[in-house]
Amino acid sequence: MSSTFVSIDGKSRGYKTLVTVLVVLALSGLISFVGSYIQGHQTFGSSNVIPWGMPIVLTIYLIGLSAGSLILSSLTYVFGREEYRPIARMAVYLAIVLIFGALLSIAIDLGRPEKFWRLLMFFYMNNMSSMFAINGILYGGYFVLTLTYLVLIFSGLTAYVKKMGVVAVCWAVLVHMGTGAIFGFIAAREAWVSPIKPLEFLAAAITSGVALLILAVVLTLKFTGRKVNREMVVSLGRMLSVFIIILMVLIFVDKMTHFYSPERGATVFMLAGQYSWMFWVLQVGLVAVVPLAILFNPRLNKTVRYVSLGGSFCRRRHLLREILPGNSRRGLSAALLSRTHRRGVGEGRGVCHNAGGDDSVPGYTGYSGLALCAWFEVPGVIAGEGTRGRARPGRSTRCRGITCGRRNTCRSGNIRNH
Amino acid sequence: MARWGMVIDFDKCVGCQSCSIACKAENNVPHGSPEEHRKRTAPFWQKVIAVSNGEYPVQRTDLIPMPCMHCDNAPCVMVCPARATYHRDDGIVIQNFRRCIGCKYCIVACPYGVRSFNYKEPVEQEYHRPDPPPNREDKGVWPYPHRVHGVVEKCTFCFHRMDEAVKQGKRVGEEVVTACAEACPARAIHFGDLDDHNSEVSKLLAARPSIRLREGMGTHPKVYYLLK
Repeated sequence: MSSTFVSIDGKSRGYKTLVTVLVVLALSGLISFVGSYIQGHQTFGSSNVIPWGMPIVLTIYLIGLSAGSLILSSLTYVFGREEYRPIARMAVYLAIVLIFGALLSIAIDLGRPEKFWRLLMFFYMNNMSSMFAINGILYGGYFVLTLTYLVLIFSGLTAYVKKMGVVAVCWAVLVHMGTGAIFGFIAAREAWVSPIKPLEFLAAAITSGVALLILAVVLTLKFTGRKVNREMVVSLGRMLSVFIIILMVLIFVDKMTHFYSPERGATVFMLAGQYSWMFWVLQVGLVAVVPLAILFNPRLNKTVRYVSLGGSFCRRRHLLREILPGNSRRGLSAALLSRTHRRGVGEGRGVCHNAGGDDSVPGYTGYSGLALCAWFEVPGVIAGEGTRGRARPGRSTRCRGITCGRRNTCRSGNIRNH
Repeated sequence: MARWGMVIDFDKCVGCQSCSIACKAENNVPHGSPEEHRKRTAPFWQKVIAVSNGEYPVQRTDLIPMPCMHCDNAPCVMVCPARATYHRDDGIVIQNFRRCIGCKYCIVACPYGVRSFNYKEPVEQEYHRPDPPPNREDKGVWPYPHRVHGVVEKCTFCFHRMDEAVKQGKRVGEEVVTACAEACPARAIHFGDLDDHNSEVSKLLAARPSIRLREGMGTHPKVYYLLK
């Protein structure tokens, strides 16, 4: 497929509708953010038992998509696979937009978002033994690298593009492995601590990156009324099925090691407890079983429609992380008391809370505006890339509540900074 | 330099929660509405947890007062990206509210669940105790720290009392103790210098078998529990 790019004049009705919808979503996200800042973080459904709520889920979801799609762009620019050239540029552009959303989600999750700058005082004000501080360097560098990479791609300096591609892809691998290390290195959480957590995150990133890219390519080309290259989508689908299998193997190994370690309460809770349906139906079912059934079906895996359907299922993977904070705390209670007590932990009062909790539901609805905003950024990206031809981050990111959210942060910082 | 530590006697604790109330009064920790307690968003710097063990006919309930353990190898100090949590020279793990960005990573990393996030703006109140006098000049805003919502807070081993006592030459552990130790009607909580062989806590630890919570985590807490 030859890639021809034209710029859009922005006068069509569909474009205006799209922008309007995105502006409305961005405004609802901004209002939700202000509300959460004023009312406190319980609007996210978080408590002292489950300190990390939806924003963290969203963050790792977006970082994973970003790193995954950047790694995919290396197919063309590093390994020289020409058949993926039409999507490579879009992959890099998606990476920039998504990492921006991820950084914004981190800022939302901070109790004092106006102190976000402290995370960027590398080495000077940061405690470099913290994975957060190390990831601050990784995310910041990633943003700069990806931007440079995209500029190089557009300026057509092929030799530099290849070198830059190698650097950016290695950095992207580091970024998502670092994100995995945030969770995998916390010894207090039995459900998290694992040496393969960084690898699991990396596999998840690439899987969801491929899935998102399939969806983005197909939707963009359909939306702009152009022909979809079937061979490319089908081969991406084949790639996706391999990555899903790798991811599932890693998850299986992760769970098995937790099963055999002394503290297996958290894993048992996740696999057989109150919220185990989340794991089995959403994570295993929607992420692995349904896409694999579609992708390995000899009749369906040749059609663009079903491959993209499989991809869309796969993209939900990271949302499943929301089960983790709740159930790991349950593991905490068990482990905390196991020093002196072995049984009957669930009946203890004080620390042994009901994991998950029913309070999270109103919190999530209050937050849904923002979540939706990030969710729907994907069509925004598609429109920006596919119809405009030359990707312009400034235009598309405008419609995502990001710039507005940051402005609000500064303002409240002036008022509330003590 | 002293190395402050706490020894809690399981044999004497009756679970009256006096220590929790005294801590809240001393450090201006919000009491929390029933709704907040149900949602687990009310902050606690000190609490007593009850752990049931076994089924009804052979059931036993154990009471564990839970201040911050002030670990020598503290996971929260390790993971704090903003250097808001750090060790003082006397071993107290302190939280600097002005540096805290509220990322809650320390709550996630704490193996004991003794850290609280401030979900709402605390009300400023007057410090009501005549002794030790609050010296606001050199200690900034302690006692009764000025703090805002959106930061993480925790037990400080009443370091404002200890600093004042050391300055005035009083004996910590006998004349001056933490608010929870002072309020305990059963005298189950002892506070003192772990490095001093003549202190009450050292003598208790030498005389009776003790445990620390989750020693397998390698955190080396400075709160010891004397077994029944």
